[in-house]
Amino acid sequence: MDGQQWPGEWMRGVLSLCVLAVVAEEETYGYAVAQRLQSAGLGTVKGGTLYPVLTRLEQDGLLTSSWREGDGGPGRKFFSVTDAGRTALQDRTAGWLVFTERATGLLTSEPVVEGSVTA
Amino acid sequence: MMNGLDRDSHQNPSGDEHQQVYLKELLLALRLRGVPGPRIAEALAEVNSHLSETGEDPSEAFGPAKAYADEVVAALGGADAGTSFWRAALRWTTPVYGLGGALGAWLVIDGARALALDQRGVGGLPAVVSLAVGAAILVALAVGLVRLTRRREDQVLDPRSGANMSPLPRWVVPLMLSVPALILVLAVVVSLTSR
Repeated sequence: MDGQQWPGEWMRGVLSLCVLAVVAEEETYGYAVAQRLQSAGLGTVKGGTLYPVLTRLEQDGLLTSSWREGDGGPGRKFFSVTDAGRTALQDRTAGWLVFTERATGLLTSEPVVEGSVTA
Repeated sequence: MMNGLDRDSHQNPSGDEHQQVYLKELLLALRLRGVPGPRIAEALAEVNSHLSETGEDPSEAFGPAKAYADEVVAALGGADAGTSFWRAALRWTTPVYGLGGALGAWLVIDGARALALDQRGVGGLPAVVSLAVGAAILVALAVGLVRLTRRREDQVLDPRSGANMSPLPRWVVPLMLSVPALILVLAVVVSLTSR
């Protein structure tokens, strides 16, 4: 499952929440977030997709960022979660669980036999 | 550590050049979309930092520069996205600069011609006055223009080092000064010889 790419529309729905969750685990930077998402089995997320998501989360006040010296290389932009970010993560995660449960319920329900539908 | 993303193009010798070209394109695209300088600098530094770490091809990782600029603008939302290049260019100051420049140039040319021919200038003004007023207007406009383009808050300064990420090429200032000066000299010569 590791190299698997998921449909773009699925990723668009869940990426922001997952990025928020990754940053909430520990303070981290863009490329490390991409690696974490990949190791979690969510596929490769390109820079062109990832950084605008981080920017949007920061604009919404859920993350803050600061540049730090890298070891030898150019500096890295580290992100950390804010209090508002933690609250949003809890709320959205709870919502997401309900949503996916319902979707799963629908997808795995027995085929409806004609005439058996109750009003 | 984790199963790494593609790192193998790191040794590509033309990679750096690729990246410089891409960053220039992105800078221009963000400027044209009216994104404020500090925001542009953040975006450029993010791209540079990511590419330096992964060794990925810029277009591969971020898509075409213009499309990525659109993404950045969308991510910034309305408030921070700034005004578009054309809205900025079409402010009330634009005709002021245009008309002021024409007026100043005309006064200088007329004053110079009147001075050379030992006549009076526009509206019977002494030639020297016409020349001086015209020159003063041109200098004021030039100073205003330079300040406009060097507005501090709109510079693109690298958030990591503070370095200017879009320095003016060396030839720009001489060119900006020499073109109007040349036109002025030509105009004076023409107006003198055509009598």
